[in-house]
Amino acid sequence: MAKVLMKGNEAMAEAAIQAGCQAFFGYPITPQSEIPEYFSRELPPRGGLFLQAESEMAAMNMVMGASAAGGRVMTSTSGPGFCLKLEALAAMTLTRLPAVIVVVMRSGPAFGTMKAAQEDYRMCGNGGYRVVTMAPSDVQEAAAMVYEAFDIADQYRNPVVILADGMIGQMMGSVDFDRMPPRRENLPAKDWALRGSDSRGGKAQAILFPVGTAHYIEKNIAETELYPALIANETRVESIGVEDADIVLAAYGTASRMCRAAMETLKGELKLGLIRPKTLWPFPYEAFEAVNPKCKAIICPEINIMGQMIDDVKIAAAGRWPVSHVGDSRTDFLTPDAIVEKVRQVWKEVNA
Amino acid sequence: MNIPDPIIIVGHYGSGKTEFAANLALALSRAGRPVLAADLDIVNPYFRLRELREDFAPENIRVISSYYEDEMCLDSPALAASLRSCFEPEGTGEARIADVGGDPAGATVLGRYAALLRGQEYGMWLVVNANRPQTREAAQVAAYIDAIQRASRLQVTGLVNNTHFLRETGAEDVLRGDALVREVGKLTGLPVICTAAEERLLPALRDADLAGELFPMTLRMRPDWLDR
Repeated sequence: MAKVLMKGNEAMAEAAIQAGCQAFFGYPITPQSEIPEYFSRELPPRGGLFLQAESEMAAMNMVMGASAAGGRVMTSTSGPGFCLKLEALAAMTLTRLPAVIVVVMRSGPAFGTMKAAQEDYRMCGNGGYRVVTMAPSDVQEAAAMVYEAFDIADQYRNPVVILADGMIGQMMGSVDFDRMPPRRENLPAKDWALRGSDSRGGKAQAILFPVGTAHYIEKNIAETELYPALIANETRVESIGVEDADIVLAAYGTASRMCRAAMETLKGELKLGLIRPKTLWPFPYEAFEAVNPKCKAIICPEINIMGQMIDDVKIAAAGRWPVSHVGDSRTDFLTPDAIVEKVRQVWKEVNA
Repeated sequence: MNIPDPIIIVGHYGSGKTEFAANLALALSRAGRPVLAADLDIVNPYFRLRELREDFAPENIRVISSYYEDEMCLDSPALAASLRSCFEPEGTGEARIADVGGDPAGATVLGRYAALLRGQEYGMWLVVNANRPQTREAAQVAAYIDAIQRASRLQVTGLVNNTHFLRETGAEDVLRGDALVREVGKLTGLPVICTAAEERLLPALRDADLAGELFPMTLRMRPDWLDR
């Protein structure tokens, strides 16, 4: 397929199919509904299974079942639906079942509104488990991340979350599927999969939930082997001009696009750097070690009110620089102008 | 360019309908007419004509929408009563444009107004972007026309070539779209009304033999920062 114009949601669905996604289980919710729509049209004729479940919870449990059967499977949702999927997601980290979950965030809490937001940062890995969480900032990258997520999930036997925001899902963008990341080779065989019988290369039955001592063994392996391996191998970040920056902006997804616009506006006034985490977990703490020691402040623009990623930025800053948040106003979500204003205000304060 | 009243803009989602409708509203208002621009999209809450309401007020363009008047965040699939004025035979004294949601799903809302439009003159233009995977070939576009006509219970009366790659669009994209809409025209008997292209592309297109009039556009819907 040559370069085409697609909505972010469509591009993520197409990337999944090209990555070998065999089954999609989902439930409609704005702003991600084009994903199930795309699968419903495209997946059955290309040999896969599309199923609209009776609820988000049911869809996630179907994902768990199909993954246990050895399939490459996916679901997608937005914040209110993601809450409902968390129990099954947590179970999949304990039973070590791979899958890809796309979350296209809108403004919460709960049913909230339809406007794009970055409010589900803390939902990706609460309660004693971790999942690789990727944060795309344009349509091409959204497709590439979904494409690679299937391999990451299979390589480590752990679910992968794509945390996009409403703007990434809903915006149009050109996407070239010839520019997807290379497929990973030597992925482990799914010899644990329940394929019905030994003759089909799998098991007929298994107790997937480790209990008693086995529970502690599984959790220990995850926390002492799996998560350190993910931190070492799968942390992604983009850094721009942080070595000589006066102020560094730290932002992901759509907020990072607004940062780029703000940086252009402020060119000539002061030197701005940008740290854009492409994985929110593992969080790229190391990237902050490259920040200019003479940098005066870090600002963390997010499309929310109080800030969420800012907690990790503060850990990374370790008290070396003041860290402040800029986000939604009383009437609208974050804008590039609000970032510009915040930078000027902080710059004035640190030089006072 | 002869613009019927009311003029209804339909097409595949992502074809650039709303961008075209916004520019059409500006063209009409700059020709000296007050304009009523109705946002009839109840499929998608993003990138909607309603976002231009404040910007358009000083241009003598009145934007009405399918949501509870001032509520930009709550979306329900309901049509405000005021939208009916866009289709009533007596008119409003304004040049009327209806920007409809994408695909047959978006066009379904028109069914409610179809009876009002019967016996009236109206235009319904299909915006085509040859860079969208679902509308790259003439047969696909013809299938869209058929499905949108059935959903809306109205007839498409013309084609608009709006082939683009957002801010990466080149003259070659416009020309690819030109070949496509000509073929669709042959297949369906529909006239090509115009070729929409960003103003910056006009020099490159000056000598091209394009179907219909060349309609220059400035991007109003897509914030600059999305392409940094």
